[in-house]
Amino acid sequence: MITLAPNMIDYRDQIQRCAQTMALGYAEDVRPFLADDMTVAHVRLFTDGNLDKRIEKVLDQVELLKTAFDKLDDLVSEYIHEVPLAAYDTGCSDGDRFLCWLKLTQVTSPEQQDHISCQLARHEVENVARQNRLGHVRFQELRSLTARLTADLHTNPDLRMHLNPIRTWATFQTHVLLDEEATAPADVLFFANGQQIRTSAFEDSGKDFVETLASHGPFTLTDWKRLDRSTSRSDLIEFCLDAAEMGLVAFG
Amino acid sequence: MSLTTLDAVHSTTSSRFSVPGIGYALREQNRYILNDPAINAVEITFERADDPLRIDRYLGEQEFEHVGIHALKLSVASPDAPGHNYLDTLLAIAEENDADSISDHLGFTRDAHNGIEMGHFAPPPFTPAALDATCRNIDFVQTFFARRDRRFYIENIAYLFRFEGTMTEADFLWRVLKNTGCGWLLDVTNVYANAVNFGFDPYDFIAEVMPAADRVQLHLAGGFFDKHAGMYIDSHSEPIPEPVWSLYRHTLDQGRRKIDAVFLERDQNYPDERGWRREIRQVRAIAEEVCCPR
Repeated sequence: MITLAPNMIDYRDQIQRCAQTMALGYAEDVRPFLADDMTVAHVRLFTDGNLDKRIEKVLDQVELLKTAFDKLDDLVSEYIHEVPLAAYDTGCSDGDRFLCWLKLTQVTSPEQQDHISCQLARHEVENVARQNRLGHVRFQELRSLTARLTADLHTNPDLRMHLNPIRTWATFQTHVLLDEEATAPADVLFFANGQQIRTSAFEDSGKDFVETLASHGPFTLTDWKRLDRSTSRSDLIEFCLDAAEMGLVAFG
Repeated sequence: MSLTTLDAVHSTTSSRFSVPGIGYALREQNRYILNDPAINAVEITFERADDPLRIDRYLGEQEFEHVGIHALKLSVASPDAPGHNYLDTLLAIAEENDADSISDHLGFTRDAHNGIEMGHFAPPPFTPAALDATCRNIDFVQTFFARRDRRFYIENIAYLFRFEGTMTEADFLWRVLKNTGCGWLLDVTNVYANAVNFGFDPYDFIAEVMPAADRVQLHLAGGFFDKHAGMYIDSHSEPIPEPVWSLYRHTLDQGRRKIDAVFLERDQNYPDERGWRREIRQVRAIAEEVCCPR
């Protein structure tokens, strides 16, 4: 067991107290630690500036909610005074925590819940890419060759289908974020398309295709026919071409 | 004169008169002028480059003589050492962009390893306990980065308040540099801001600390004096003010042969193309004037 020197115990205590109180914008508790010529107003300059920047960042990260919540600025302000920023906050993690806070603390309509689900799913795509950067880069490289290989799909039995690894599902309860032809509730796939994020609503057969490829892929058309005897080869090809077009599948 | 002697003269001349790498802290707003002949260095802010959906390297195809990665969350004055995940990701971005150095700020942004973050760095109390924690963390960080040949620099910050302490900032910084041997990212504007706000001589500050640093990088930026707060704010929103240009000359003179690179920072009120080019050319012209006198 590591034993800390007494001065280090005091130091740890000081930094913890100061950081925890300043993270929520409360400057008063820092007063005992300040130099003689410093006042709480000096600390407030620091904390106010930090909180303003944090509000701006969270609002950027939950941009989709702007049309769904009338007083989004007020909600974000309330959140940052209640929930401190987590250590090593990366990407949209503060925005994600705000969305979870929103679900727990506010009464939301089904339409608002869909906006929250949509924003969370977009962030999740980024999180998946962060954890599997190599997979993202490799798939996008493969995708750049796909247009050339598409014509071979009918004739080349060795051509394998690869599913975009940077993806996540969300379910929309209402029609508010869906295309006119889609029916709610709908399962929507979010996936990386280069540096963008694309979405596509799937019916059951499409969802089965994605899940089969996710579980058993990459595989060839012949492999697939062995797994799914009910779908015709031409339907499979058509589905593959559509999926490749939207950036969900690549050939290699 | 023998060839050996000629080589010796050339070597002495180039090291005596070496001009540091000059460049911008990279922002999307200045990316298009990075091919300016005055620029041969660039600084990447880690949090900007850490875009998980990016496919190409952040710098693109362009090559520079010096590339620095600038981090915000090592929090070296915290009681705990920084986490391995953050260090790994920093190193990955450094390697992907062929960076030769990594830097962060002399302050704390969080309470403990898995705790909470303040969003910006506060100055440490200038005490022996803070010095011990800071030096231990910098040693840890340096050892980590040295395995992949990346040098670490610590930046003096601009602060709006001070904790009670037992030594001056200059003394604290001098000891950090001496004890750890890390490089100094000397933010000239931060020294100016603190000197204005807390009443010390910025020229003396730089002269006092410089001997403790083996290697130095510089930051230059412009802020404004907030009359309401009665303080100079290092906002990176204005052109470099005249007193900072003067301090820059003094710094180049004091840091002769130690300064690797100079990075100009701008984060708001972006200038037009002429403005971007004019300021960086002035940075280079002064460096050449001071480092290569005719």
